[in-house]
Amino acid sequence: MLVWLVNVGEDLADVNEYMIESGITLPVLSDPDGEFYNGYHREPAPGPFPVDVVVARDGTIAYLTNAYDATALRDVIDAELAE
Amino acid sequence: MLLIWLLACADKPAAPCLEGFERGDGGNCEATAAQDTGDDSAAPTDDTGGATADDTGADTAPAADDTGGSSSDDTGPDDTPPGLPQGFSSGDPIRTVDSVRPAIDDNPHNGYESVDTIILEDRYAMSVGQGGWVLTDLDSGALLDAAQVDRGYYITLDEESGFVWVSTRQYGIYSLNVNDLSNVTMERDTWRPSEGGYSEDISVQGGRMMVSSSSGVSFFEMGSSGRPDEVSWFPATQAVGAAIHGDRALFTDGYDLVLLDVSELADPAELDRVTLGGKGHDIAFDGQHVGVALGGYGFAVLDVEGDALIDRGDFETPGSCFSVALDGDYLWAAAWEQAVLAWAGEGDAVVLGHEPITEYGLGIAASNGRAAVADWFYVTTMIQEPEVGGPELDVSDKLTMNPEGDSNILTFRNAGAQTLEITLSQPDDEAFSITETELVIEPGRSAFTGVDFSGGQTSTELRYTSNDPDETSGAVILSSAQTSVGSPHPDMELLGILPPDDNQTLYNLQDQTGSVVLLVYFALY
Repeated sequence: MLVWLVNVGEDLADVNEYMIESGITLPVLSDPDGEFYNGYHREPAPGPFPVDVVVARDGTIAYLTNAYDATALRDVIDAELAE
Repeated sequence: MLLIWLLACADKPAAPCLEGFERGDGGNCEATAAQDTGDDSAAPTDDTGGATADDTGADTAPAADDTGGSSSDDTGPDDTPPGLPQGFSSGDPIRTVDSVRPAIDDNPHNGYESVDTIILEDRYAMSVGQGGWVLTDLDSGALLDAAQVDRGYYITLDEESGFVWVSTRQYGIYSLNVNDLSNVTMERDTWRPSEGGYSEDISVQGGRMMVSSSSGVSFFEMGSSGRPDEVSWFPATQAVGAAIHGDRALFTDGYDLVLLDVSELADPAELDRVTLGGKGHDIAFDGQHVGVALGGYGFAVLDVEGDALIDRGDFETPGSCFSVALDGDYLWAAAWEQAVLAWAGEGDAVVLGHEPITEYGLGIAASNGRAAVADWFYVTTMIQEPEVGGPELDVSDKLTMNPEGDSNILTFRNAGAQTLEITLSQPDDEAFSITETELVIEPGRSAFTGVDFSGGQTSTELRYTSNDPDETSGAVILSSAQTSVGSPHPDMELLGILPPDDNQTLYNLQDQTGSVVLLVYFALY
């Protein structure tokens, strides 16, 4: 399984500084104009982030939310990994 | 699909309400008493503040009957409209003066970011963020100057010394000498409080400084030169917002707001602690009135009376709210989508109006009826019409639908202080239809129309008119989503890094077919 962080609209050099400070070593992609971020169908939420997307092995979207729910996310990932 | 909405009728007013809802006096579907929880002040869980059935009609803002200005007996001889503070008249209370985008080195693609702002000399606004500081004129909104210094997250003014203090989070705190605005200098080395981790919010008043960090708040005496002298520390679990005034200090601690007695700065003592309606962020405090930004849950208005915090109500905002500012009896709030003006003076606290901003409202400061909004890569200046308020329409600008066919609801909220009346037109595209064409919404309440979509790849406008003085007409874009659960993820190829290595390489999602991929979209805020 792969975890990609996708930053929206910020300078990757600044993002890298934050990642180093935080000890995070996951790949960080840049969606500078929000092209992909704005393309998802999702319900209104109190804030713009985070948006979590699980892409299944066949490339379809298995899960999409902007209301962080660790339990639901874990359940979806477990189910997709079992496929 | 959010919920199954049956388009049972085109003939008003016979459209059925969802289970748990009933038609109110205004003809809208409203939550029944059992569902109108009124317990939104408890620590929230997953309340999105959006168009879910549970939210509708169950807002935290005071209902019309709660405002104290809604009965004829309350209005007095000056015939103040219902919901407005005594003596106020109906109208649009906020006007945008200008919105400027400062560029670094005259490069329009490289701008100064603004995430927090302060007022200087009752005439200028100084904003900070990635890039440096930006100075704008508080009357004209014009850009006056900008300079590159260390990135700032919070800024505050020490009025006695004429120094501005900037919190950078991970790198600590530095100061700017703003006594001569034609020669602003970064004056002192960056330093951190001895306790805690990242420095968060910072507040200076009366020769004393308060700095929050995740594990507590630090207190300092301001010296005549050099860095302030650290004199005490008060532990917390998740401190962010901090404000000191006189012998009282406030800080947010997760979902709590904590009031301290700091008459003995070396020995701060907790006087009161209340649970907020959301996780606390920025605080505005003038010794009596208190505003607290609650992120996705809007903002709260409280008062400090002696040793106690008095709750005066929570108010939703268009998008998350991370900054508040007091200007006498008025409270300004910066939300992601709009600035909000509320009354915090005598009587009931009420929202007087909203005003759209250019990008995202992250910080706000106000003085004498003018406000500056740290508007991400813009600084937006606004002016207030005194003692004016009205109905305030709050609705999303778009609603996306499942391209396979969908039924959804579109929620309209009246965030203002007078009754809101809305007329909706059926969309021109027959693939979309709505269930309601007339909505009457009391202050602090919501109503919705069902939206039914037969499917396909299309979009249209849902047009409306209203009696909101600054939004007499508008439209919501109804469209089928390009990407939803069950559909293939679009081809995605983006540049990325693998920290700590800052070399950029291409990441292609389609190359990962056969693997499960979790994409987490984020920003540093």
